[in-house]
Amino acid sequence: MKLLFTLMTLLTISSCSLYNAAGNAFKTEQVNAWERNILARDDMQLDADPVRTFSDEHIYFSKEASTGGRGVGGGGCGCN
Amino acid sequence: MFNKSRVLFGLFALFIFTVSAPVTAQKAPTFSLDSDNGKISLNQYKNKLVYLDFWASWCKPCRTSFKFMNEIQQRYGNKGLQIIAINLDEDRASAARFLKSHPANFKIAYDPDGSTPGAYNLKVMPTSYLIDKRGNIILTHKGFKETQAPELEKMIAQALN
Amino acid sequence: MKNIKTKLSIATCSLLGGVQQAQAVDNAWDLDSSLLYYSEADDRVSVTKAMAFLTGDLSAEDTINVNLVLDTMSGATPTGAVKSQSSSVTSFTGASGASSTIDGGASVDRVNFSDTRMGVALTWNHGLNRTDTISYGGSMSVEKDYQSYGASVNYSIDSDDRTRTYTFGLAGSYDQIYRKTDGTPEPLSNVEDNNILSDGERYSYDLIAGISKVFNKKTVAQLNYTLSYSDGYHTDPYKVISQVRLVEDTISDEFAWTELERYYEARPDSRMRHAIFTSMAHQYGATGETMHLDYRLYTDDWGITSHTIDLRHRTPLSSSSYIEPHIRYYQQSEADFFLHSILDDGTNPVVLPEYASADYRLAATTGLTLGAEYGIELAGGKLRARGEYINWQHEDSEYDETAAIVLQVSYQKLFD
Repeated sequence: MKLLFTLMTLLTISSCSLYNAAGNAFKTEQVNAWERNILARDDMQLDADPVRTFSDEHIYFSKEASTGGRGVGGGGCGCN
Repeated sequence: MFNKSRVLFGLFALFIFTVSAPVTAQKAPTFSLDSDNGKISLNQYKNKLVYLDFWASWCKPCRTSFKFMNEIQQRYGNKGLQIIAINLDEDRASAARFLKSHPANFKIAYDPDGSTPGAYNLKVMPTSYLIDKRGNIILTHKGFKETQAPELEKMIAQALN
Repeated sequence: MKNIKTKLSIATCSLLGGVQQAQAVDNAWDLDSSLLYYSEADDRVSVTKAMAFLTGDLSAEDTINVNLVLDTMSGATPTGAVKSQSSSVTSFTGASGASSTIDGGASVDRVNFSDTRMGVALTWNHGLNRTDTISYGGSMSVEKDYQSYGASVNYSIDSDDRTRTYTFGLAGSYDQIYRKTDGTPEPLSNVEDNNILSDGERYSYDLIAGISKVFNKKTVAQLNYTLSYSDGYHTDPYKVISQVRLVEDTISDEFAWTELERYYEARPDSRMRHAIFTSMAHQYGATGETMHLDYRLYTDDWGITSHTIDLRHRTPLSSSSYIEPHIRYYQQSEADFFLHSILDDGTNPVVLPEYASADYRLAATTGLTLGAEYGIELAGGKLRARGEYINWQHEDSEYDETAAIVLQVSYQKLFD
């Protein structure tokens, strides 16, 4: 249990630093409501194709021992 | 003569007045933007009730709001209403494509640099502002859904009277 | 309120999480229909799947999703027994019914099966105010030897500037597992005794907490933590494990397994899992190329730890079409109780462990997927076609490789 917690913390920290190391991609900038043209695109959604994701999850769940993890996301056009 | 209690009363009255003053009528920020026929600015419509809408081609609720705006421009145009829809697309081509499938009978202005929405403190797309003849914002409507149309129309009709 | 499309995972019997997408419906219904074909090499499993995902607004604050799935599965599946030309097992009921071997015949390392599965999932998304949304979900999945029922609740909160979303979800499911012809076999009992017990039951509980953040105009990412606990019957009622001895053929001087006994497998009564999942979408380049990168770290108390990396890259071919190659790498460690077989060297008496399974899916496995998708806007809708090749390598398992192809065609259209 303790090992798992350490592992999880390490992973979160390292993924954050990996994120920052990736440089430009993760540079935090203010995004105003009217600047979301790219984020509104279908292919910029965290789950760009729910039917495809569902199909793949079923295939891998049936053939591998791991499950789930995938969850919610934001982004998008932020409208209304 | 300088009377301490009078000064105190004066300060107190001033304090009460400032604190209890109604939400100050916000002056609609001015702008001068390109359109398909020359420049559009707010003071061109000083004697009209202006419905100012901010939209973009990628904003899906804007499709329904255009339908609504066409209807009310037609119904209340001769009663003193003017709709101005400011486009916020970064490229004119995207706006043109949208207007081809959703034509407008109201004025379209282009603000690709996005300087106007900031001045209007825009928080969500789309947002529309009702501006009276004195240049004050009397209504801010955030977002748009078809079910909100009747209520919004009622408020516009009221403002025209 | 934001209109939210929630995706459900019927297969995993847990309805965690929902996916927020750019508003796609405006008093219109959105229907995405799809046909998928999955086929393994070596005449193993084949599956055909038909899916229909429907989304629509019920009011200004409410959206519903209705998802329907129909699967037909057939082929041969490994039983867990070793491949052996000399087996002492005389009778064994496989997945499809009676199947017996005569004394000294070949073992039954694979059996044929066929099944049809139907699944339905319903989600109701309700906007409480401009930033908060609550989603309720229900699902059901039925096939000849398995039934699953699930429910979930998800709550999401947007930050005021809509750049961050916080989500919390809970889900529960109830599964019934049994063999087509009878109940479930007594765990680690000899197949020849044919001890059949009642149907298996299992309860699962899941919790998810996640954050998603818009970093800049071109990047959005999410980080989720999922905790799952399941209690009850986890064994596969068809799978077996062989008790074997290595025997030298005195004539050919070759060694081969001889199967002495065959037992039904046994898995623990509970399972606790943790998963950390992170994903990002990023646009770059002058022509609007986008990439999606996912990583999942998974671990459970059966001793399995896995890593999954998934990368997709989309290149627009025109304003209405694109090509998207895909690569996925997967690696899992074996379950604590995974065994190739139970060794009987003839000198010491065999002591059966408490839990044992020879199911290749619990073996240490490495998987690689390579695929590509083509998409084009057609007749006002979105047509997509994709093909994938998947190869899994299993360590210390009688079946050391599983290879499959996936073909899928989907069409999404808005109906006013």
